[in-house]
Amino acid sequence: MAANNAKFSQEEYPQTTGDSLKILVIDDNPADRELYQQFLIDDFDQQYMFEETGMGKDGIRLCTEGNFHCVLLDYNLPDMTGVEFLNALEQTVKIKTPLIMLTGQGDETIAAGALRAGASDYLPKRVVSTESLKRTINNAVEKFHLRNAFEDQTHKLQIKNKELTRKHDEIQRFYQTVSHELKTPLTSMKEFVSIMLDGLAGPITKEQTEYLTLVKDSCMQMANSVNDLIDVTRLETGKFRIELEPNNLEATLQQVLSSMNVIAKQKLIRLKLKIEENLPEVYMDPKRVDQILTNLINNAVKFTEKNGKIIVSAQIDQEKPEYIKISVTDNGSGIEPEKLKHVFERLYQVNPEHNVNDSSTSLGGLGLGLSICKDLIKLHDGEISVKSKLGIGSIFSFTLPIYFETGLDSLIQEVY
Amino acid sequence: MKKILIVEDDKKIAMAMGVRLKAYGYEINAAHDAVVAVTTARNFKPDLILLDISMPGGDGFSLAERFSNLADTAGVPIIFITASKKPGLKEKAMEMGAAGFFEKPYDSEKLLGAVSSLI
Repeated sequence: MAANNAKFSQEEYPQTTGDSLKILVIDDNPADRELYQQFLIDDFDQQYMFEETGMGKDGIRLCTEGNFHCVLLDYNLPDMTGVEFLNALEQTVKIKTPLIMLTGQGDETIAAGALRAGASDYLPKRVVSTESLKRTINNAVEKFHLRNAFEDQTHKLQIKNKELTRKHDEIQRFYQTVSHELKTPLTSMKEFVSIMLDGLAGPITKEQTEYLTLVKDSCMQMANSVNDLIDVTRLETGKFRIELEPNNLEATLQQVLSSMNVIAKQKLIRLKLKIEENLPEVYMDPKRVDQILTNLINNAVKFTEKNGKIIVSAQIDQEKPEYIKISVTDNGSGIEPEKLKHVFERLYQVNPEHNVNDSSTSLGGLGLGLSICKDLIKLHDGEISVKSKLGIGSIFSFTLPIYFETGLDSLIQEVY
Repeated sequence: MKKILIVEDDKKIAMAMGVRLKAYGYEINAAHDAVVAVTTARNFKPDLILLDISMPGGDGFSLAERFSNLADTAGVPIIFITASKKPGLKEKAMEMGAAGFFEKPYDSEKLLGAVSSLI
């Protein structure tokens, strides 16, 4: 119980502002003890109070009982060494009172050991003076405060970090639920509309077909927005998984273009594919590249007038020949230079009013698409860039790494 | 007439699936939870099962496992359908030997294609 109380009292480090510093001097030589105290009394800037002892055991007891600002400890005590003292002290008290080890001549290795064992500093006895003692004590006390502040901060950060991780997981789960709850009614909406469109519920007029097609498109648009939301949270928390494998880029490009052609045709936009012959395999996740391209082409369609033209091209990147550069070029409205630098930012929309008022296209969005593209491309070790001229059109380009089979093999062999 | 069991807790989606599949000449039965699904499957003896993964009272995966252990449904192809975006669902479905995997909202033409290629 007594020990516990002592421990408790040591939890409080004495105030250091304005007051005198309480110093414990432990040295078996009374003359040395006297000398250190005298040196410190000669310090006119700071007042000191002293307690002293010649034995290590007493020193430990005093440390547990009194609140000292600093301990001066002779390395060679009759009953223990300085390192043994430090180890014993660590067992007894929680708080690490700054301790300065006083060493004899040629004891530098001992001093290093003392520092490892937890001493704040050491001072060879031959250089002890008012100035050196004063400075060493001040430094030790300051270091003590800094370390405490640092540990305090670290502890706070750890708690905060845990809290954030928990919140992230919670948000993640929330988005999963949102996704599920939104998509379930969406699915039945879309399905019943499809049933009517396909004439399974009786014949419908041309006008009805047109309107129901718009409903179906809106359903898909909403589903895409929900998917974007999920993607963005996952990308943000680093939980997005992509499966990189050597793949034929052309097949993916063809596939995306054939499905995007339907949307382009609605606006009488010509969508063309230009691929360099014999392109090598690319290290990519086809599902994600599909997503990136769909997004870019969707945007191009959105900002291109009727009868416009969109070209999707793929060729070896001239600047970085170990990459393939895929570009989506349109002759649409183009983007103002001011807005251009923001297009890859999350939630940024080039023309927010456009989405609200333009009911003729079903290609609105949350302003997440390009930021998702950028992150997905980054996960592929590629880069996305944009060039645009107002009234002329835009070119969105991204790179994907070429798959080098032999290079990889030799690398693996090198490892073994 | 080929028989399809729809296991889907959302009754509207189950109905929509039913309407379309019936129109294409399949015999349909629907169950909205895992328990009913098992009894229905025993009596109905479906040729194919459309199975929602996230349902209250038991997930689609454990239900699929039960189906594969039941004499009446062992070996019957299962197409999983889900509105969930949890990562790894498709991989798990494929590992379990699923005959198909569709995310909601699904493309009904593709779903029909998958069904007709299986039965």
